Amino acid sequence: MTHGLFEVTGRREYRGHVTGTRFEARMDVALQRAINRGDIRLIAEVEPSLEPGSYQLPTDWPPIAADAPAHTEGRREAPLLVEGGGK
Amino acid sequence: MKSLWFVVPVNGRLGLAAICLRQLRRTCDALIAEGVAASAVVISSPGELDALRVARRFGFATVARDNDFLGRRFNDGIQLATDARHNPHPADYVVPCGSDDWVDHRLFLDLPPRDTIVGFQRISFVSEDAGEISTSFLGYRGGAGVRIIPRALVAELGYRPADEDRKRCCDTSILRNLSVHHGDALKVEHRHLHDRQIVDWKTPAVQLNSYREVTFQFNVSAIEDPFQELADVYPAEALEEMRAHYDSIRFGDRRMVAA
Repeated sequence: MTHGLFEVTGRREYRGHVTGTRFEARMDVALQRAINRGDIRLIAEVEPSLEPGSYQLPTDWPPIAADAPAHTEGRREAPLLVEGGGK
Repeated sequence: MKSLWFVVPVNGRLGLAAICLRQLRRTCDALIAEGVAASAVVISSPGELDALRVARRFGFATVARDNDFLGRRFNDGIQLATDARHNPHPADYVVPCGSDDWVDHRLFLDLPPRDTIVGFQRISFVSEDAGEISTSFLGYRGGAGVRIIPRALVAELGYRPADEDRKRCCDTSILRNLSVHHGDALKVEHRHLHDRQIVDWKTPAVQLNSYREVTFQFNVSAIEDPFQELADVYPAEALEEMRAHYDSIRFGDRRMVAA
């Protein structure tokens, strides 16, 4: 389980969520402690994802010149950009 | 050809967002012309059909998602950009970007290795009345929210690196989660091209951080006439469009006062 749907059950808000509201979050030690304290409760295990039918890809993706996807990360070349601050 | 998607949540301020999306289209075209396959995904609530229509008009991807949590919106955009289960040509890099930002395309020509995030610590802000522009140095790790993030880094987090329940500070959340997951293997590199490399346009409408807040918080030097100041970097037509937008805000304000 990586994520859960939680409900705030304590009197005070939890991580900005007021009592009675629900939120999805990645499971971690802090959340487990909050469950143990009774501040929140786990409603369900969830896998957050794009919702089916909620999205559309770009009309021209990939661009014609990019038909062969490289998926290779950048090489170290002579830097175009200068590191650090200052104009 | 390496590929990159900008990830742009839109919430209200459609007039400003439309101008910035048009400029982002120019940015993508400039990148394509120089050998980087570039596009964007716009995330907006199902009720904001105009925002989604504008995004489609510029050829961008769209995601309809409620506005409850900004983190979830960023995650949706990053996932659509990089997850092959949803995108048959996933992008090699994502760049979170505000719907009120302009970026110089040359920032994205030299793309980093798979273990490195590129951040930018100098950003310019334009005041709500477009009367001045200032440059801030964001001295913390990662700098501004506009960052180049390799696909390889987000893959192990299910292509959703932000806290799902974040309402703000999503850039911090993304960097923290990636740092926790990858440990010392994650590198952050800061680059600087020029002071106007990223421009954040403030408007009187609702926004997370006002001009006064950002200029109070960081070391700034303000200059009058942003449009003249930006003329060497951004297209004249984009600047004219933005000037007209701010004029319309001023005109609207005067009408309200007169009424």
